[in-house]
Order: sequence, then C-alpha cells, then structure tokens
Amino acid sequence: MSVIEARGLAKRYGPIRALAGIDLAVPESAIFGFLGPNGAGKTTAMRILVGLLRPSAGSAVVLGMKLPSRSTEICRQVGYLPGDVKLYPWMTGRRLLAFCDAARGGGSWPEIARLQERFDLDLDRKVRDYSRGMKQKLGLMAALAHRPRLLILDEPTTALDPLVQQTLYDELRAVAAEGRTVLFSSHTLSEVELLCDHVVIIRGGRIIEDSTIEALRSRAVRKVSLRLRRSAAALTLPEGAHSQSSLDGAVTLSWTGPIDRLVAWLRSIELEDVTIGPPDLEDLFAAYYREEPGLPASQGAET
Amino acid sequence: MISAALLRRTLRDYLALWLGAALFVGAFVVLFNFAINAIPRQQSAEWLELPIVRRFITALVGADVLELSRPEGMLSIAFSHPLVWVLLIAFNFTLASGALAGEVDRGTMDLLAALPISRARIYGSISAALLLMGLPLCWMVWIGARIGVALTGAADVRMGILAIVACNLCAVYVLVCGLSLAIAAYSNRRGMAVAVAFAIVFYAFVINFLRAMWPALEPLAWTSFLRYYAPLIVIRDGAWPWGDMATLTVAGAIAWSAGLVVFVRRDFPAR
Repeated sequence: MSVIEARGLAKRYGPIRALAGIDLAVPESAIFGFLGPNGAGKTTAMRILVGLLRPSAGSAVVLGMKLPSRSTEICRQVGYLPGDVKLYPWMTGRRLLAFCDAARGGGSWPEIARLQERFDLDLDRKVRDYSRGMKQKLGLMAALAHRPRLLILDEPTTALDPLVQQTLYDELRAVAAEGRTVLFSSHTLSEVELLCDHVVIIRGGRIIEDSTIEALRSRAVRKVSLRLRRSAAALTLPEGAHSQSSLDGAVTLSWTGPIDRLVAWLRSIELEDVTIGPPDLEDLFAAYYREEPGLPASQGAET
Repeated sequence: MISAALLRRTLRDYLALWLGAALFVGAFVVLFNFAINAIPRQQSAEWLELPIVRRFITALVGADVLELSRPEGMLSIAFSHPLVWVLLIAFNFTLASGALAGEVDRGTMDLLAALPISRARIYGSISAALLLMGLPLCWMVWIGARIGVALTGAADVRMGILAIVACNLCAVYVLVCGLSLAIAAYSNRRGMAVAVAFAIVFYAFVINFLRAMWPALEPLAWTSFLRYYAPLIVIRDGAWPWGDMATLTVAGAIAWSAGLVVFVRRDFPAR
C-alpha cells in the first residue's frame, strides 16, 4: 500500500515551472529518499504534500486522503520539517512544543521527554538563543513528537553534528521498523545510501530516476584492480568493463553491471590478485545531477 | 471555527502590548477629563467660535461644534481623538499583520500550517483574538471617561449616551479588523500588509477631515468609514446609529469574508 500517491503533480509560478507533472508512489514503512540538485522541485513537491502549496495540476492522495480537501486530517498524521526551519524566536523550546502538542490535541509529552533525552536539547531556553543546530533539533522534535504515520523531512540533517545525525538515523530506522513511513530529501549521498530503501531523483521539475537502492547499486560503477599472471595486452574486456589503466600485468578497470557476470569473467582469466571495490553511487548520482541534453534544465524553482 | 490552542497562544503573545495600549488609552481619557474641566467655560466658548477650530472639531466628531454645549459633548472629542485612533489602529495592525502576514514573512507559517488546524480555523482564531483584545480597548475610552467623570466630580454627564458612542466605535473597529485581516491574509510581507492597511485608513481620515473644510469632497464621503462614525450626532440625538453601525459591520464582514477566501486558497511560499 502506498502512503503517498501523486499523479501528474505540477506547479507553476507564473512563467516558472517548478514541477512538471510528477508521478510518485511512496510505499508504507519505507525510508524514501528524495534527491536532486538545488531548484529541482523537491521542496515544492514536499510543500504540496503537506498542503502549504496548491498544485497547478495533478492530484495527490496522502494516507488515503485527497489533497487539498483533507489537508487538516492529513496534517494530523504527518510530521513535517521544512528545509529552512523557522520557529517563534520569543518562545522557549518547551512552550513551542506545548503549543504544537495542544494544537494536536495533547498526549505528546512522553515522546517529547524521550526525544529531548535522545537529542540532548535544553527546552527552557528561548528559541532566539538557540544555535542553528539546536533549532533544527527542536524542529525535528516538533515533527516527531506526535509519532506521525508519515514523516516528510526536507534536508533534516542540515546543521546537525555527526553524533546527532547518527541519533536521527537511528530514530528514522525505528520509525520505519514500526511500520511508519519517512520521505526525506537530502544532498548527502552517504546518508541516502545508508538509510533509504527507495530513491527518487528529480531534476528540472521531473522525476528522472525512481528505483530501489539495490537496483541503483547494481548499476553503479565498481573499481576493479587486477594483477594478471601474463601481460595485459591480450586481455579482452567483457561488456560493462572499461579499462582505466594498464601497466605490465596490473590493470585497473571500472565495472558496471551484475556482479556475477564480473565474477564469471574473472574466473576465466589467469589472475594473481584481484580487488573489487564497493559500488560507487557518487558517480551515478553525479551523472544524474549533471545537465544532460534532452533533459529539461532546472527551472529556478525553490530548492 | 477557532483553535483554542492558537487563540490562547495569540492572546498570550500580544498580552503585554494590549495591556500597554489599554492603560495608555484609559489614562489618556482620564487626563482628558481633567483637561476639559480645567479650561474655563467662557474661554472654551471663545475658542470654539474660531472658524478653524470649529471646522477641525466638526471633522473629528461629525457635527457642528455648537452641539458641544452638553457636558458629554466635550468628552466626545476623546472618542475621536487622534491619539486614541493611533493606539487602536496601531494595535489592530500589529496583531493582524503579525499573526497572518508576519507568520509567512518569518517562515513560521510552515510550522503553523502543518499542524492539524484548518486554514479557516487559523484565520478564525486570529480574528477572534483581534476582537477579544480590540473591543475592550475601544471600551477603555468609555471606562477612562467614567473614571475621569468620577474623579473630577463632573455633573450631568450621561454615560449611557457615551456607551452608544463606544458601541459605534466598536463597529468602526470591526470594519478595520475586516480590512486589516483581508490585507494580511493576502500578503507575504508584514511591512507591505501594514503599509496597505495604513494607506486605506489614512485615505479615510483625509477624506473625512477635508470634506468638513471643502464641501466639494462630500460625494466621496461614503468611501470613508469615518463617515459612519459621528459621536456628536449620537449625543445630540440620543439615539442608536443603527444604520451607521450596520454599514460598518456589514462592510467589515464582507472584507473579512474576502480575506478568508484568499487565506484558505493561497500558497505559502518557502522563505
């Protein structure tokens, strides 16, 4: 079952096209990564899904409820963290969370107490005295406190130190393990690789890749270093292998394709030694991020 | 139509400002009582015969200055005094713009609109706060007058008639609420919301004031909401200005409804 079903979701700001009609299906219990360069339309899509923006075309159903007509009921079960979290500077962290709790009908304080301990945040200081990282923690607590069925987080690790990032990763894994769903955007490929089951890459307001991490890994480039018993001159490379350097019996090549085909080929040649590196998603993502002919350029939408 | 949590938060956020404004208005009207009692009657009659003073006061209170002969006539000036207007309107603009356009401007609307409070309830809660704080502020003029009358020992002041004037003032406030909320609901910038609302109120004051000096402007008088607020006529006739109050309230309700439609349908862009 999909917790988010979007069909042809589009958004225009006058002549500027921020979203060009995307289809999105986010499965339940998934940690779903939303990737793309600045201005790709990630934030626009997320803001539509929480009812902050009205789509120019298309439709979206979130948790089985249609947007925007049922956005209030949707918000009851969704936790949202905006990209650049802004909070009431005159309030203490505790008062801000108390307001959110009261607006949601109460009952969040046991979870708030747990999250406060996990994120180690002083809630009795005014928000104006918080650092950027502390504001981010408070925004995350406000999004997580009511134990929502769906979390929509726009670059949640921004301004967090590595220890707190790790805490957040643990929290998000726990959320998914409980059958709840996380949709988050990020530019940090390592965290996407670490956390996500599924990734959507968006550019120029269009989805250009929608795949599982496993499927992406199988298409990612691996670096393979070979030491041959004989000269490399007679070596015939199979499809998917590209030689990068060759010196006497030492060959370095890049490999794209199924690993079993690589292993079968390695068995067929006389090897002294072999090193197979992990799949490098960085290169794959970088290719998606780069402008390519035939794909629409970034339209200058919000990031 | 309102969220208790948001209403409580808004009342608390603006409580200090409201207390300051209420005390200032009340204290000003009390002092105004002392001031009008300190001026000898003969001297004030001489001033009122000066054409410029006569026209100025007519523009403020909506009727000829000669009607000021009753004791509450002089007090009616307090209900139209520029200082009272400035405080009432500044409070109104501060709350309406801060709680709607200000939320968008600061970026905190992302937090508020992602809570399970419908946009209509957000708008309704801010409107309720504006009325719950603003209407008592209007009545502070009457309370100040009452305290002033008690302290100065002025006789024959009909506080009941002044209560009708206070109700008329409340109707003006309701209209200003409707206008300021409609403008704030449409705006992304708090400063812009205040500037547009101020321009409308300024226009109303200018037209109302100038028409007393320059009769050629009379055809435009209906476009100024102050045309429907004439304390001295209420005091002279001793009757409820139902027509004026209804006009103000209906116009306020229309502006408020337009703001609601805009607020419910609009986008909240990222900041």
